[in-house]
Parts: sequence; C-alpha cells; structure tokens
Amino acid sequence: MNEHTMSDRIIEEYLGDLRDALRTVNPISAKEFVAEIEQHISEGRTSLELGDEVGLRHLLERIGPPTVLVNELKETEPPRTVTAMDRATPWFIIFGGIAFGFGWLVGLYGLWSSKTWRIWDKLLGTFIWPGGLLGTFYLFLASSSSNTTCSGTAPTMTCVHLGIAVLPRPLQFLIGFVIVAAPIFTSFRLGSVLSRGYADASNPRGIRVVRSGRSRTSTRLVWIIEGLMVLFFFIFVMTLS
Amino acid sequence: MVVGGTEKLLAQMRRGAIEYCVLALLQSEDRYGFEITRQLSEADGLVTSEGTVYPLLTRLRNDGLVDTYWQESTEGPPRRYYRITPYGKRALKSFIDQWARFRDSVDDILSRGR
Repeated sequence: MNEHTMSDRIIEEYLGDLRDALRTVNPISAKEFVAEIEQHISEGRTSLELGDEVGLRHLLERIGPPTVLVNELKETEPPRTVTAMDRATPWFIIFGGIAFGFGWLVGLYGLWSSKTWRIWDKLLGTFIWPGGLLGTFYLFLASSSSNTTCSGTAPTMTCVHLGIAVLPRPLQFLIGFVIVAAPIFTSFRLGSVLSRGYADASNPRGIRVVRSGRSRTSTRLVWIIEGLMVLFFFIFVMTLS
Repeated sequence: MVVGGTEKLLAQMRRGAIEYCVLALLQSEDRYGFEITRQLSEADGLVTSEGTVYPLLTRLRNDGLVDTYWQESTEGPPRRYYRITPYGKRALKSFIDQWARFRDSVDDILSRGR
C-alpha cells in the first residue's frame, strides 16, 4: 500500500469513528459537522507533504478524539421538543385510516411537518401503506382474491387465473405476512425513532424533552384518541371476522 | 496541574469565553473555520481540541451572532466564511464591558489572598 493511500485510510478511519459517534445526534447537525471536519482536514493537509503520515496524525490529534467532539456538539444542541402531535403521529399513521377515515392524513401531516423523523422515515410512513391498516386491508383483499379471465368459446375457451390464490400456499402466507407486518413495522419504527432521541451518558434515555404549558392536557387528549383508535380497530377486526 | 473541580469550572469558563473570542476575531475580518480554529488554538489554554470550535460556530450562527457565506478558494474546495452580524457586534461590546469589570474584580479579590 503506498503512502498516499495510507493517509486516505487514516482519514477514512477517523471520519468513520466520527460518524459512529454521531449516530445519536440530530442527523442534519451530524452531516454538517462531518462536512466541517472534512473541510478542516482538507485545509490542514495543504500544509503537509504528500504521504506525511506523522503530520496527518498530528493534525487529527489537534482536531480531537471523535467522542470529545460529539460530546461538545451535544452540548450545543438545543433541547429537542417532543410535541403531543409527534407522539400521536405513529398512531394516526397506523390506525388513522380505519378509526377516523382521514385520520391517516392527519398522521401524514404530523409526519412531514415534524423535524423528528428523517426523510427516509417519512417516505416509509407515507408509502407503507397509504391509509395505514386500512391500506393493508384493501391490499390484502385485492391480493387474496383471484380473477379468472376466459376468452373464446367452448371447446377452445382459454382461461387465465390471476391473483396470489394461484400461488403456492407458503408463498401466499409470505405475501400475506408482509402485507400485514409492513405497516406495523413502519409504525414501530416511527415510534422507536421518537423515543430514541439523542442519547448520551448524561441522558441515557435519550430524549431531552421540553414540554409546553398545555402538555398535560394535550397528552391526556392524545391518550384518549389513541385508546379510541385501538378500540375502533379491534371492533373493525371483529366485524370482519 | 488542575486540582479538584477546577478543571470543570475552567472548561465551563472557557466554553463561555471562546464564543466572544470568536466574535472578536471576526470583528476585524471575515474568516473561515480552519483559520478561526488555528487562531484560537494558538492562544494558550483556550482550545484543547480544534474540532470543538465547529459546534460553537454552529451555535453562534443559530443564535444570529454570525452569518456565513461560501467563497471559492485557490487552494482547494470552497470555504465557508463566518461574518459577525450587527447583533453579534452588540453582544461582543456588552461582553467586553462586563468582562473588564468581572476580571478586575476577580483579580482584585485574588490578589488580596496572596
């Protein structure tokens, strides 16, 4: 391995450690911070000879250990505000379609207007599945019904069978499982991101919550809505069965 | 050697004072991150890790004390320059006034204990 590649490897290792340490930090701040440090390294390298490994290590030492930098970054992070809407959003996403018709749209608004979730989570919450469990239900109905289309007249009539009912039974189960489990997983994931927060040693639970003065009332309201949603869902399922 | 809880206290004081040192550096001219960190690290005992200055710069920006702009560099990729805002200038002036009084008072009391 030549010296130039070795220098690149040292930098990559350092930045890799930094990214690992930044996992519990707000992703936008983390990305910006890594960019700043990359720029700093790039500036510092201009005064080094090509392949000066010792100089490079000294430069990284001067920048500081990734854990120290991340602790400092966390100190400057404003406390994250977890609103009642944030907490209700995963519930609206999963049950909103069934319980209140357009409750899923309310969840969608909560999802996209919040800074809690990153773009990937937002896309996941939107597309798997639209309507939450209501979407699951329609998807399940659509996929489990089989269509048979025939053309021609007897005795030369040709029939084509469509739908998952024509598939082998294990595959049917697998598809059915994915259809049902996917939105539940999505909702769990949204809830998990919400509760994970930005954990650190002084705050092992992760969330630095700032509650507004109305939080107690709104939290109770959210719990009532959540309870109603679960109730509606079970009634819905019982009716179906 | 730093004794007892002094280290923590010094770290807090350092963190508080560095913000204004950055503003003071920016009052004379706009500077980019690397330049600011190098200036600060040259001052004895002010910065232990150069990388810790970047979160501070972010906070100053979020608080409206500085703003930033990008400028092409002949030595590499574009640089993000930091510029003090009028609000930052007022905050610096206020700090300088208070700091002088605070420093004189502490020096006075400490000198009596010698």
